[in-house]
Amino acid sequence: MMYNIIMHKAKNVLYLVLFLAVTIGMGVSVYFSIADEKNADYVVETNVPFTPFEFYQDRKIVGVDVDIVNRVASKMKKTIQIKNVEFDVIIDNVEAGRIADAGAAGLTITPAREAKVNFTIPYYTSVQYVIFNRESPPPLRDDHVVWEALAGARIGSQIGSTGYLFVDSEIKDGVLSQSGATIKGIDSHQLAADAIQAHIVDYAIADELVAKFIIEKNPGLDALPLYYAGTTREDDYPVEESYAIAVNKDRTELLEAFNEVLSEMLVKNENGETEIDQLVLKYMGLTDE
Amino acid sequence: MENKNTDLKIKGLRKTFGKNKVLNGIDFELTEGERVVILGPSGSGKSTFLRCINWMEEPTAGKIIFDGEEVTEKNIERLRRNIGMVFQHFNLFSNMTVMENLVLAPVKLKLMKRKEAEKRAMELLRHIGLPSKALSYPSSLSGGQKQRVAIIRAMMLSPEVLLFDEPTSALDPESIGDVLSLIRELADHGMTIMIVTHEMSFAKEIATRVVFIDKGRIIEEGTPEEFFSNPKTERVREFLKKVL
Amino acid sequence: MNNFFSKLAELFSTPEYIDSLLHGFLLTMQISYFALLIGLILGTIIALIDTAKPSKWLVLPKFICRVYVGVIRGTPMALQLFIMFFVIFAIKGFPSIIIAIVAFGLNSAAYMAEVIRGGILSVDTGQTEAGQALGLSGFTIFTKIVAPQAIKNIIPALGNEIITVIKETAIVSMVGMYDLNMAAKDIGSGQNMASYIVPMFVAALFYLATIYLITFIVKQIEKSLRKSDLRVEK
Repeated sequence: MMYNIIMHKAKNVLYLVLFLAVTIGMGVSVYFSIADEKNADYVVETNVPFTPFEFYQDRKIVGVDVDIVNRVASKMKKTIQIKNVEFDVIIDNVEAGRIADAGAAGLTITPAREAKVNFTIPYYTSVQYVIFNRESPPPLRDDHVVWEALAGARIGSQIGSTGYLFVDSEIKDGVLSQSGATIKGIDSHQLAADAIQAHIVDYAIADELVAKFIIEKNPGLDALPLYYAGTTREDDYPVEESYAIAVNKDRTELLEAFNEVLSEMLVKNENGETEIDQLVLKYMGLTDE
Repeated sequence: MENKNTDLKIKGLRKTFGKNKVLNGIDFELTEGERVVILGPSGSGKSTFLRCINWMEEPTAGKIIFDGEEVTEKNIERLRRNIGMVFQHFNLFSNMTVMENLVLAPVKLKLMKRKEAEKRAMELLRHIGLPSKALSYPSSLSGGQKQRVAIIRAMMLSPEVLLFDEPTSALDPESIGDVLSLIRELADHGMTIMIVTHEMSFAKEIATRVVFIDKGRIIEEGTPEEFFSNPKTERVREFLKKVL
Repeated sequence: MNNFFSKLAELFSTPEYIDSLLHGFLLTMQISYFALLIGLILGTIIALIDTAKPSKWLVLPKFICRVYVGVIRGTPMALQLFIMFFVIFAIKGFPSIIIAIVAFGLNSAAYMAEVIRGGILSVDTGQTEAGQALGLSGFTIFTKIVAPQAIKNIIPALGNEIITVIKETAIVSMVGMYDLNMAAKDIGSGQNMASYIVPMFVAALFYLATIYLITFIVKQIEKSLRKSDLRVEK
């Protein structure tokens, strides 16, 4: 019986040691992941992935927006942390200013957003693209698609993105109203494209660069720019949007620094390219390696 | 016998469960060496009476005085150490071996060292013929074996009084005899006993006093000879006619 | 289908992708482990208060516990996570992993409390009474008699809760944390594989393997506890 009790005790001690070892091991690993999150002077929120502006590389957020933010940080001699959050919450968090001072996530300037935050000067102009299955393309107009071609279709887009907002407003009171077209908000651009192949939606709307990435890796898909129809075919004009960085209305020093950096980066060189253009190419080219 | 000290006095004991009045003022005294059998129809409050004595149920009103000290919530554990209880459903600790069941209380209450308690437990187990069950779990014991272990578990604390709450009601007829003879043996050694039972012949044989409870009151009490052959009240006559 | 398998092969032959999945998996485990630890401790406290004998000192604590369990169980985890991140812990620079652990820990506590409460109530009151009749203290009765029996009854449901929490932590990707689910999204994104289906599938395999392992361990514990239940003399 003594033997039994001793064995029992030994087993319990073993379990306790095992438990403590696991707990301490886990605790240390958590400690190190916390140590990564340094206490920064400013927090800029973003939404990953939105290549080439922000995406993960070895689980670190990199991209054009990150380079801009880093440039601002060194100019101001302050530390700025970049934080990945849901796209939908960025504007609200920047407006509140409690956990974020700015948002850099390929944000398009809209009046509703401008009411809540200050925007920097636009630093990139993107065209909206329609992604579709090669086997069932929408009616084309040469090298582009016009809104009218999407009548009656099921259209997917990343919820809260500019593409989503465009489609939503066209369905509510624009070209697509009464056409039977529907919008489906999907978790990300990528999933919206996957949804075409799963026949959940007919087309997906995304920014030019995102769309180009997606069709490059998915041979079954193609994408063309989305245009507003003019009176003649030559008068058609693209659905454009301009990206800017959203800054909390009280952080004027941050807004000024961003604008300063952006104007530097938007100076054209002898080839007519800006530094931003070069960065876009650099981060896009990353995948060609 | 008459000069012995009174161990236990109960005055005006009342117990209500919600609106249900179960005990309606019971006065009772217990003297050392007595063997009191409590009889009564079902629902008369006899089990509740027994359970109130060691505060399994907290009395609604009334006093319980044990060894000259009034029992309250504060000194209840001392009282229980001296008043053992045996339950209808044995209530052996199912997560422990028989041995652990026996030594838990004396060791935890620091009445004995573990070795000492184990030795005493083995003696008692041998006495009831179950030494081989020391390391068994209760689930492998028969009803009669469980109840006998439960009785010696109570005896491990050497209580002054032992309360039995229908100790044989959940047993098959064969086991009843074993349990009753163990109780009888305790009685022969001068143990003070209170027992609620339906075993009339056993009651007649063992009791020094019979108490009849109905509707939460003591209706009649007396020696077993008086009670069984010459009951004073109509209610008891009626009851005896049914059960004998 | 061919496409699926070639993408699967691509994923498994790319060390960076595997590395990302493992990093994501670590975060999933970190959050789950500490959340479950908090849940177990807090859940036990709540269950103890809830099952304690009523007294005037416990009226308020009991009420608070009941409201707490009701609110947590009555609202979606995703909303609780958002409230934690964007309302309660809306503090600049506060580590996300701590917020996530607290959010899931507080959530799990409510469920654990119900499981533990059920386990305690499943122990026959006769066991407590027998302990009282022997003059044992409430503490001894609980630790030596009620708790060991309750634990045996609790184990299966507890295993269930562990599994639920591990899977539910997948929603931390909604607040930008790099867990297993986010790793799948990352690998599936434009600059990587540009297809969600295969990485999602592989992440699901990770969850499945983990949960299979935990189910196995819980079954072993259950078995060893049952054995002692029926052990006969040597």
